[in-house]
Amino acid sequence: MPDKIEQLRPHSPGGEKRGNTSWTQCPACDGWLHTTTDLLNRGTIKLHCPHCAGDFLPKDAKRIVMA
Amino acid sequence: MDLRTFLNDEARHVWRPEGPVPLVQGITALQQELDARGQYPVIRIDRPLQADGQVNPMPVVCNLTASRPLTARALGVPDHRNFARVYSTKTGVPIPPQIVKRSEAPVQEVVQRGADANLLALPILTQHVMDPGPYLTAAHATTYEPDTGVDNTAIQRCWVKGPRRMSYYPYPTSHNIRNLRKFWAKGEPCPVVFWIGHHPKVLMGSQAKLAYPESHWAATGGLMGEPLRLVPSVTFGDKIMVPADAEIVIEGVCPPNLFEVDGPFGEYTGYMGPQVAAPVCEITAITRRKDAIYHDYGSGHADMLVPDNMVMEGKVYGMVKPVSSTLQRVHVPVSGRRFHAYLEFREPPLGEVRDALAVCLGYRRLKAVIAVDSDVDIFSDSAMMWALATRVQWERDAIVINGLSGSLMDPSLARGARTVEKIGIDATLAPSEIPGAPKPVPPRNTVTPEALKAAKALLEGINPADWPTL
Repeated sequence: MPDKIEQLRPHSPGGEKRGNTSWTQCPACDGWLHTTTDLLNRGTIKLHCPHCAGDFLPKDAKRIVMA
Repeated sequence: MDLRTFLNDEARHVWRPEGPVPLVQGITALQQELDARGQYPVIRIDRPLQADGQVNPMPVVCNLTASRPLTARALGVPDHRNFARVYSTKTGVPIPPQIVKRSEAPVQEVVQRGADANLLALPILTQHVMDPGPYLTAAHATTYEPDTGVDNTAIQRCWVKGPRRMSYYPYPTSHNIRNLRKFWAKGEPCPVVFWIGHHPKVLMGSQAKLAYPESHWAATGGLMGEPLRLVPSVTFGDKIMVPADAEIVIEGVCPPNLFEVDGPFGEYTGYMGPQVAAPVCEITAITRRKDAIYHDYGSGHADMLVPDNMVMEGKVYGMVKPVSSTLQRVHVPVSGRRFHAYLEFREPPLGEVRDALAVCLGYRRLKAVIAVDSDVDIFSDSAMMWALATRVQWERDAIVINGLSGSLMDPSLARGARTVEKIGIDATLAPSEIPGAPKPVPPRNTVTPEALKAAKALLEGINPADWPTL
């Protein structure tokens, strides 16, 4: 995992509607892809960027915004 | 009975574009545009154009079951509105399959084993923007439970990554993933076969929702009205049978706990499903007819939603009818993807509609169920909205239950939630309270049958092409 995961708040105190999708930014092309948190948490499976077809481990992602 | 039987029977509903059509989004774009126009011909592409500019010699068929009336007719149901009852009845009277010799199995006319097997030779579609590559979408995955030998079949997607390698994504609650995990717990690879292309009776019969472990072959025979012809697979012999009259069979193994990424993939919800960890399948053999036709389901389009939803209608009918005898018809509308069901009742006694709603909410796929009287057309979304607008007081007529199993692909799920909130809505009119007296509700606006007949006659033959549409 990259050193800094941007973790979205788990709960909404006021019950506001909030999304449930986690996004990862490709280190090669800056494109964003959405993944399950399970896939990110495994850490050992290379992600595949649908924009540039590059493969990379979650730890090498440019950014991860985790829902 | 096979795919060719159906294509011949419905030849006048098959559209065959003359020129080459790209496998990468071109065919899917046709389906998207036809869906938008409300037109649902079967599409046969005789010249599928590969990404490398070459025409693949194998034809592609899609939109096979995009039309409700056509699909119902293929299954021997003249009026699609009665499909749920017929499907539930026929699949409930199983007919055991018939085992045939390899020499009698068209699907094994060509056998390619080991290095001769090449997935990349098939005309496999890449359907949507962000799909990472070509996907099998009409592959019926058959595995078996290792302790009992009982087989299971489900349509599950595969991302083709190489000549003999693909990711295979059985949904986390599916019976096939249970079988995979049982093999893996023994330290063994899980055998799996994927069969593609058959008559709609076989495609939809094999999707009957059954207990675990329970084979789908006999339920398929029930829908066919005759035994399904099976043949031993070339890799696994009689441990996994395959339909002898299918077009293509892909055989392989999923090594224990070997995962790769799969997706994003354009899903039935109309959204791109996320990238996930999925088992790897290593291909051992491909068998096919000499002149095989490749079948594809347009994911998230009527092509896939219509047959899937019609099978759900049969399941819902079979669940509800024993507790609510006044149930008439069921519709799982394409507009609701797989999440909505409409139920039609005729003069239900007090309590029976809510009994039915409670039963339906236990069905994992459903998220909202609406019950109406038989004067409301459950095959019209507009009529259903009218019933909701005029026959419902929300707190009195809605049953809301949280914490039920449901689809994790629902974009509206609460962050981190593993369960779903569901609603059942009683949109029937209040019943009569005094025998012989009218229901204590107002009558509908209407005109006499004679006036309506005269109006239709007046409009007969008029061309409204230049009339305002809004």
